[in-house]
Amino acid sequence: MEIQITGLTKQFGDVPALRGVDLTIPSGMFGLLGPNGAGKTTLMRILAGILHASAGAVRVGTHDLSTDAGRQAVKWILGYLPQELGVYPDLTGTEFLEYIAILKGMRDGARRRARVAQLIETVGLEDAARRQLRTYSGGMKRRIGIAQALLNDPRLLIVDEPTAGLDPEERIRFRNMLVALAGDRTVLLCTHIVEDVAQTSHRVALLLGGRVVFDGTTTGLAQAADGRVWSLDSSGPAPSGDLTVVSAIAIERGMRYRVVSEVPPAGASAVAPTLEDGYVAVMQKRRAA
Amino acid sequence: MTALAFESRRLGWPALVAPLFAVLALCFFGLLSQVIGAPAQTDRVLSAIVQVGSMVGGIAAVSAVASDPAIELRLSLPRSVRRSVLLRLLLALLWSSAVIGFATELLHELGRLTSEIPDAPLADQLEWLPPLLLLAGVGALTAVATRAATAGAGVVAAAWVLSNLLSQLWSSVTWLTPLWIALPFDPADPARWYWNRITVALVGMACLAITAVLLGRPEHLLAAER
Amino acid sequence: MSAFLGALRYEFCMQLRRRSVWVSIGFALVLLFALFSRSGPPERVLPPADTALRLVGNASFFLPVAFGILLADRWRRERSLGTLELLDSLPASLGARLWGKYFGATIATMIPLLLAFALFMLYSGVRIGDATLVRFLPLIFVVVIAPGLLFVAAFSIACTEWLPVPLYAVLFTGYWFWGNLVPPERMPTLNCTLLTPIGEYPAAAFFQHTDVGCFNGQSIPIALGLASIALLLATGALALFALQAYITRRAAAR
Repeated sequence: MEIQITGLTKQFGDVPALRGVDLTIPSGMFGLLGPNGAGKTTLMRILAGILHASAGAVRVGTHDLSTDAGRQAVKWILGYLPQELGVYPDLTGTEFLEYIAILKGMRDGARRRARVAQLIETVGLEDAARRQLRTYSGGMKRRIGIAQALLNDPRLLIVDEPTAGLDPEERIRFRNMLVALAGDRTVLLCTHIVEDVAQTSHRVALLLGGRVVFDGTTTGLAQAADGRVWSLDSSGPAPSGDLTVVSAIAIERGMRYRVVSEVPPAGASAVAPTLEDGYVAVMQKRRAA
Repeated sequence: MTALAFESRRLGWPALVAPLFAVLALCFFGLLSQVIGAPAQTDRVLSAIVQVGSMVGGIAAVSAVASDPAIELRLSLPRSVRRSVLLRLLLALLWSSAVIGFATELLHELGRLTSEIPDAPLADQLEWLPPLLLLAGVGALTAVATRAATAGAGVVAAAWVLSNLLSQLWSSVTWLTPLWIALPFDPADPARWYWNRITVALVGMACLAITAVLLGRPEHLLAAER
Repeated sequence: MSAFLGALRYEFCMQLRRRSVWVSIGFALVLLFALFSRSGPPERVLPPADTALRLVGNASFFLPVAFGILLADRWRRERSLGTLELLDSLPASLGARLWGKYFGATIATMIPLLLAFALFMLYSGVRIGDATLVRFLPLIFVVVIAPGLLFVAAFSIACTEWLPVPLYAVLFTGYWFWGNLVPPERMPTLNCTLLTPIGEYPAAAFFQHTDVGCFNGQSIPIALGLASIALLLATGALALFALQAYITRRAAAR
């Protein structure tokens, strides 16, 4: 299922959140990256049928999101995990999932309960399923959020910061689950954690100030930093100037800096770029422009 | 559990307990009047259920439309938020009406209702039902329009207290009298009272209809006051 | 002290910015204007201070109901927003936070209320030919109205630790009607006692406003006015101390 976004604009009063976004999201995993306030959550809310676009067109498969019917149709095939998932603290994990399943139109009680039990197991909450959500830790709430998104076996899955609050093992497990789910589905992964995109997605887009500043493959994004990534060992002050220090590691005689910069700092050697370097390089270029 | 059971849980036990509590409180004070030697007041105290009921129903309605902690998730689901909230609102109104209506009928049957309304079928129910609809409508509309449940509760409480005060002023302002929920029955002009009941109920239902329209605007619902 | 002042300042700002505060009191004021739009001057000429007290009395029968409800969710809010844990981790004491919240939120809610009283007095003053009646408001507000408001605010903040807000709203509205407006000859009530938050004792003792309400012209000594104020403030403080003690004990038991 392909998502086609053309000239998408969203204004909140005088504040523009999206400024003419053009993007095609094919089936499979798709990563969406961008700094805070770039418009990622607004874009996700529009795709989830929660917000209406101020201008432009969005089509999810054959459904036109500018119409009520189109938005409603998408909701039937959607799994959505918002960044800040509110839950009902007085319900148990099982009850919460069952309630959301009812609201997702799963009428057959036996099938619904079986699906809830299956997902509870998938997210590893069997022991906590009968406890009220008010007793859940942040990571457990995230897991219940993931489970609710998968209840209706969605063809379009939109997840906003899904791995925030999960421990490393859970994060890896969830990433693998997303990749396994992708297949012929469309999975839109919005995150600040570049590593999550690097490990799951072939395609990625970068949003900055409500505009798409990169749209391509993860390899392409990493290549955006070709010839701009340097490693520098120094016992003096941290390198400064028109550059971004991506990492700083203490070594035996000082510090080892990984730097993204158009001009190599004195004494630095070139290194192969990663996806994170590519992200930094694109942001650097755009901000300079 | 069914959707109805889940929505009644979302409505919350305070909204369900409040009408029962109001009835019990009046019974307590009625009993107290009896015990301390003011039995003449007992029936007046018990009959206050027809006034108190509308306020209780109004605040229960505000609870029903109060902001939802999972609103963003709810807005992404195929069953509309409007449908769920209206179901909660309906539950709150039906439950409050059932409790108040039963208490009123019981007092009527026991001959304890100090009402001047002629003994017509269900006439006593008109004392509280239209005001309940009006306060529920105004409270729900205020809560949804401002996305602040406290504003709805404040408006219901202030309107209710003011309606039960300053009778002369309510009567003197011609354009406001049709909305006066505590208009006393005048045996000399019963039509005025019946028209008042119709107007009050219709305005309440109009407010509920506008509330339903506002509940269909997702961007509005996302901006709740907390 | 700085934690108390910090809590007071920011609770004040947050409460003053709430839509509900302005909407509820604005609605009540509009209703009041509408009701008094047809009323003429009093039947007999009264001293200006007495007229001012009558006007304030009309509004103070019901404006504090909205006031009490607007404060009822302030204490519970920390739990629903998830900020309680953060606040508990700070070095500021529970007492500083609680009393800072109480005074900050209460003073903030008093501002639109005072404004409503002032507008109503100006409006009524112009209608009855004495626009300067509003000059009595600051003193009347401090002596007659504020003690009752502080009393109500303390219970609104304390009771919602145990009662859900909607249930408290119903009980509080019922209490207000019963404790201030029901004549004592009709049923046992707190009305016409020193604990009446509507301020009948201070009004009678300090302004000799005795021809309406409970006193039938009987004069009330200043000591009783002072006693009523002291009792209202002390009872309110007691409610907050009880809340503080309860939370401290609960925290110790954890």
